[in-house]
Amino acid sequence: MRRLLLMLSVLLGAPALADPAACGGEVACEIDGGSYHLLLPDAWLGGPAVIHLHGLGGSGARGTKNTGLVETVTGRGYALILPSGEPWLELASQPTDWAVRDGTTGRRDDIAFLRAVLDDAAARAGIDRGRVLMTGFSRGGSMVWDVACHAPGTAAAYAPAAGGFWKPLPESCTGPVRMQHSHGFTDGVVPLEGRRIPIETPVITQGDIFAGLQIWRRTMGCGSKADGHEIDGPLWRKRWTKCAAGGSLELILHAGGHGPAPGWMATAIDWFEGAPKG
Amino acid sequence: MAKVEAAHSLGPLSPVAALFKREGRAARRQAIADPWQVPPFPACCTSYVSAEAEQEDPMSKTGLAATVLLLAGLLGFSLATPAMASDCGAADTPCSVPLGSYHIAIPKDGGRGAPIHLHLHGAGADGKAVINGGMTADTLGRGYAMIAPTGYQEIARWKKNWAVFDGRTYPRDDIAFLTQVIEDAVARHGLDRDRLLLSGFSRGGSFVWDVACRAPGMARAYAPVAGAFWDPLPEDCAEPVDLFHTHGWTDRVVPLEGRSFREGAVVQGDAFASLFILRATNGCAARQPESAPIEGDRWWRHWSDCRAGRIDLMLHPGGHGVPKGWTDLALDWFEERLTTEEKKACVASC
Repeated sequence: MRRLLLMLSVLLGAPALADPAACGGEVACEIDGGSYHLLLPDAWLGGPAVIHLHGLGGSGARGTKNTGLVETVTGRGYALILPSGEPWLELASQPTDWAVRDGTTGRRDDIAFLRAVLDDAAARAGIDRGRVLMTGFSRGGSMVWDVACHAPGTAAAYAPAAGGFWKPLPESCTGPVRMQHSHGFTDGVVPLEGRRIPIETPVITQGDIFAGLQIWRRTMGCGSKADGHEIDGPLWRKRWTKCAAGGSLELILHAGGHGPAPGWMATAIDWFEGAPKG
Repeated sequence: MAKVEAAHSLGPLSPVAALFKREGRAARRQAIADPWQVPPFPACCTSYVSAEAEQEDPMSKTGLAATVLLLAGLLGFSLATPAMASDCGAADTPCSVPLGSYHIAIPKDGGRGAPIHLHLHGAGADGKAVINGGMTADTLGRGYAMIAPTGYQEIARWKKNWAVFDGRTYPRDDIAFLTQVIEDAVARHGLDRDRLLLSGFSRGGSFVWDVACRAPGMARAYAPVAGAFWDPLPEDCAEPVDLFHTHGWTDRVVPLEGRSFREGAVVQGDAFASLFILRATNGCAARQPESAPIEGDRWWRHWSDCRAGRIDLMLHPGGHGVPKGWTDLALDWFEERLTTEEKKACVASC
C-alpha cells in the first residue's frame, strides 16, 4: 500500500522532495487553512509518522530546529509532521494556538485542519495513514486530547504531554483510543489539578487531569483500577489495558515541571510500537 | 456561559462529572460577585465548643469524671494517679463505652495534658493490633497518648470495620462511637482534647476522610493513609480542615484511582477526586498547589495557601501499607499545624 501510494505520487507527478517547488525541511507545506513542516528520515520510502503539536506561541518552523525531537523521530524511521497553530481571531497580538474546547469561539476548526494535514502529507510523502502517532505539548497536548476524544480515528494512537481537557469537560468521548499521557508532577503552568487562567477574557480553565482520565476510562470501559502500576526511576506509570470497549490508557508522571519527561518521545514511540519497556 | 450549562445538562452525571458541574456553578457565582474572590465559607469551629459542653453532662459517669478532673485541674491538685484514672486500655483489657471498645497507651510521664493520636485500623485488624504495634511505640515516644478503637460492623464482610459512607447503611454510628471513645479517654486521663490527630489506614483512612468532611470538629487535624472517600462522593465538606494524605503509587488494594467491587455495587473513589472536593472546601480549587517538591521517592503536594485549612499529599512508591517513618512524619506535620493559631483564633472570634 505504501509503495503503491509512493508509485502513484511519482506517476501522477505529485510534488516530491526532489521537486524544487515541493515542500519539506525548512520549506513549509501550504494547504487550505494553514501550513505544516515535514521532515523525512534518510532513504525514506514511505512509512509511519509522528504528527507533533507545538505549545502556545510555537510553530512548525520552530519545531524543525528542535534537533532532539527531529533526530529521535526520524532516527526511528518516522516522518515528522509539524503543523502550525493559528493566532486566535487572527490577531497579530495573539500567540499561535490550537482550537482547544475551552469555551472560546472564533478559532480555526483544528480537527479538520489536522486531518487535512495528514491527508496532504500522506499524498505527498507516502505516509502510512494507519501508523500515525499524534503527540503534543502543553496547549498542543490539550489539542491531542480533544482530537482523540472528538475524532478518535484521526491517528492510530495519541501521546499528549503536559496538557489535558479544558473546561467544560466533555461528558464522554466518541470512542476508545490508545493513549499515553505524560505529565510533570511539579508542573505549575499546567498543573495536574488544572488552573484558572484569569488574564484571559473570558476566564478559561484547565481541567483536572485525573477527572479527564476518568472520562477516558468510562468511555473505554476500563474500570477505575489500573492493571499495571510501576515505578520506573523518575517515571511513575499506571496502565489500563483491559478495557471492555477496546483501547488502552497509560499515565506517566515524571519528576519534573512543565516540560517533556527525559526521553519522552522515545518512550512514546516505544509504547506506540508495543515494545517492552526499558 | 449558556453553552456551558447546555453541555452539562446532557444525561445523568457520574459523581465526578457532577463534581465538576458543581464546581462550575461555584465558579460562576464567584465570577458574578468578584472574579478574584472565592466564595465565603460556612462558619467554622462551632463543633469545638459543643464537644466541650456535652462533656459536662452531670448525669453521665464520664461527665462526672470529667468534672472531677476539670475541678482538680483548676485547683491545681493532682488527684488522678494512673492506677486510679484507669484500669483499662491495655492489649487484653479494652476500655468499654456504650457503642464499643478501645485500647489506650499513655506516655511514661502520665496522660495529663498529653496530646492524642487516635488511629483507626484497616478492615479485619483491630485496636489490639494497633496498640501492640510499632505506631504506638513511636507515638508514646513523642509524648502522645495512643488511642486505638476497634471497628465493628455486623454487616461488613470483614466485621472489624468502619461505617464508611459507601452507600450501605451500617448499624453502628461510628462518628458517635469515636466521640464516646474520645470523651471517655479524655475523662479518664486528662488528655488534651484540643490536640487530637485522627489517623487511619485503608478502610480506617477512608473513615478519617469521612470524619474530616462530615464532623470536622472531632479532631484538630487528619492524617489518612491508603484510603479516601468511597462512592457516592460527597458533594462538598462541612468546613475547611488540615489534612495530610499518604498513598502508595503501586497500591493495588486501594489504588489511588479507585476500584470497584461486586460489579460496581460498592466503589472506592478516586483519591484525586477526594482531594478535589476538599480543595474546593478549603478554597484552593482549580489551581496548582503552592509547591510540589520531589524528595527522593516521596512526591509531595502542598496546598498550603488555601483560604483556610491546608492539604498535604505524599505519594510514595510502595503498595498498600503505611510507609516507614510515617508516624514521626505525621506527628511533625501535626505539630506544625498546632503552631498555626488559625483554628484557635477562630474559636475565640466566631
